[in-house]
Amino acid sequence: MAPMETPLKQIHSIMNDENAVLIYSGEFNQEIVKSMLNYTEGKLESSGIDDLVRKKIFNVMVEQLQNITKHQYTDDDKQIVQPCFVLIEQENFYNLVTGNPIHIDTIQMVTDRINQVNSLNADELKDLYKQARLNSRISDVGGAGLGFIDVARKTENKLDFGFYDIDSANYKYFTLKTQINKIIA
Amino acid sequence: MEYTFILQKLMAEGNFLLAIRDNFESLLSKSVFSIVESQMKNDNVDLNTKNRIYSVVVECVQNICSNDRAHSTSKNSILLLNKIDLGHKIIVGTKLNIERKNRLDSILLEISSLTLEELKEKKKNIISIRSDLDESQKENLALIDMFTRSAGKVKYYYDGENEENSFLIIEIEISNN
Repeated sequence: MAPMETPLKQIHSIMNDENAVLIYSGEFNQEIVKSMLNYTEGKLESSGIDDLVRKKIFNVMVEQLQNITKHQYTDDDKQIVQPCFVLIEQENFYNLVTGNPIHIDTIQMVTDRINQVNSLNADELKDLYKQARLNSRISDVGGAGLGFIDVARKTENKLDFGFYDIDSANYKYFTLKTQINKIIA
Repeated sequence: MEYTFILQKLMAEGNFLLAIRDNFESLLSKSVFSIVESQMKNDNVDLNTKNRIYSVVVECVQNICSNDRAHSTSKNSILLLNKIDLGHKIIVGTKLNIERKNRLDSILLEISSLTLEELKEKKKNIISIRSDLDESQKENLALIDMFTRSAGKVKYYYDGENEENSFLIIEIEISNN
């Protein structure tokens, strides 16, 4: 039987295969978010990437990290999964990937929101954003999904997402991947 | 995208907080450490331990992964931070050519056989020889620093070797005071 690979070897191998350059897994708070943004900003600055692209990455990253910070905990007795952030650098684009627990009651709503966002063009997204902002002023419920619209508008790419089973009757693991092109068309 | 879910599981399984894969070309040790430091704030880690972790991170990034900087598109080095029962573990991995592998191998073999006092003596000798240090002397100093800051809790091994390259992994344990 082949020897079992250690978590370290497996992490390294997945990072190589997926071109991941940064993984953070653990509690998210303002300090952590700030330091990760600083790290990424420094990295992007040194790579000589276009200022506009850099700004886009930064803004989308803020949105996604704030989202994790808000939705990292579960009501279960013990924290069974950790939220996670992965930065991927491909030749022509960056991916920002987040993972966090999600209550099963909200899965359908999130799925519908993202599918709706993915089905719209830039103008339609702009209208939906205006409408969602207006609704969010009226009630918190109306604002749900505003972040998805915002991210889709900024990245100009479709959102990729998935839900995975974890050891909980009430929660699943939600992953969201955004893509930011290095060259603006 | 299942890899994110798998990565999260592996990170939790190994108690890893952070993993960075890079060629560390822009000496990002300060910003790498700021993520580490933010995490340590939550755990009430004392200043002395923080300083020891910071020094080891700097040595890893600046002197162990440094060979990778010549290849700007490669990301052959990895740095991980692992939380353990009595402190933290810093793990650095880097790809070496045969020449560097042989050089580091002999340095590691010698250093790991020395006591902390002997290590301090060796460090003094290297520093006193001349101000302009060559690669081998810089690596010597970096590794001595890792051994002294961790009180000798350093483990190293190779993960994957062929005729041209080896992947060296060094694990440095920093116990809380």
